[in-house]
Amino acid sequence: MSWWIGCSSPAGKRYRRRALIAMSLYLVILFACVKLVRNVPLHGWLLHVVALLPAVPVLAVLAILGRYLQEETDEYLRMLAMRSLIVASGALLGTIVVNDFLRAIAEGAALDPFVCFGLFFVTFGIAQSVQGLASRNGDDG
Amino acid sequence: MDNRLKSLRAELGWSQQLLADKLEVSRQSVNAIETGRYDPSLPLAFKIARVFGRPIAEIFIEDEG
Repeated sequence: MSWWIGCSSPAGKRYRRRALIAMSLYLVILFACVKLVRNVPLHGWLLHVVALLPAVPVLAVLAILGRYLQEETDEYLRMLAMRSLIVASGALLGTIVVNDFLRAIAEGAALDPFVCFGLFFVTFGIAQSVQGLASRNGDDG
Repeated sequence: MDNRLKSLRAELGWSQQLLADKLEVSRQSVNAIETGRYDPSLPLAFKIARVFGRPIAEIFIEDEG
């Protein structure tokens, strides 16, 4: 896993630590919000605030990724991360465009909640892994 | 672009990790440059030349055609 962001450079290690904190906060906030909505009758702006709270750490992860790109001094690792971001963004935008046309012309269904979020991060991870495996050729250990 | 990084490193008996440490980059970067999957930026190419004590043109060879 040494190709993965967070394993090869000081900037990557900082990225990993920050992302882990943000994702841990995400789980805590999501759990708390779901529990709150199920047990307390919320309406109006308060319901909107509670609904948006879990999005904050997710947006933070994107900001953390941006900060990693700023801080990474190893140009090759930075390029790998940029490539992965392009692949993930392409997969996300492609899916959204296809779904938009299906909805606009063929009365297709909208994507389920969190599909875009999941698709982006899963594709990003796959792109990182594929590049990492490809870069093992010529490794002297 | 082709390069002689691997042979120069072998002449000195350096591992990829040792060269990476001298260049202040990851071992993956050294590996990618050696295998031709990545062409370094000009600043990194100058740094490589400085580490080996040779001119850039002796380390990096432009592809024909």
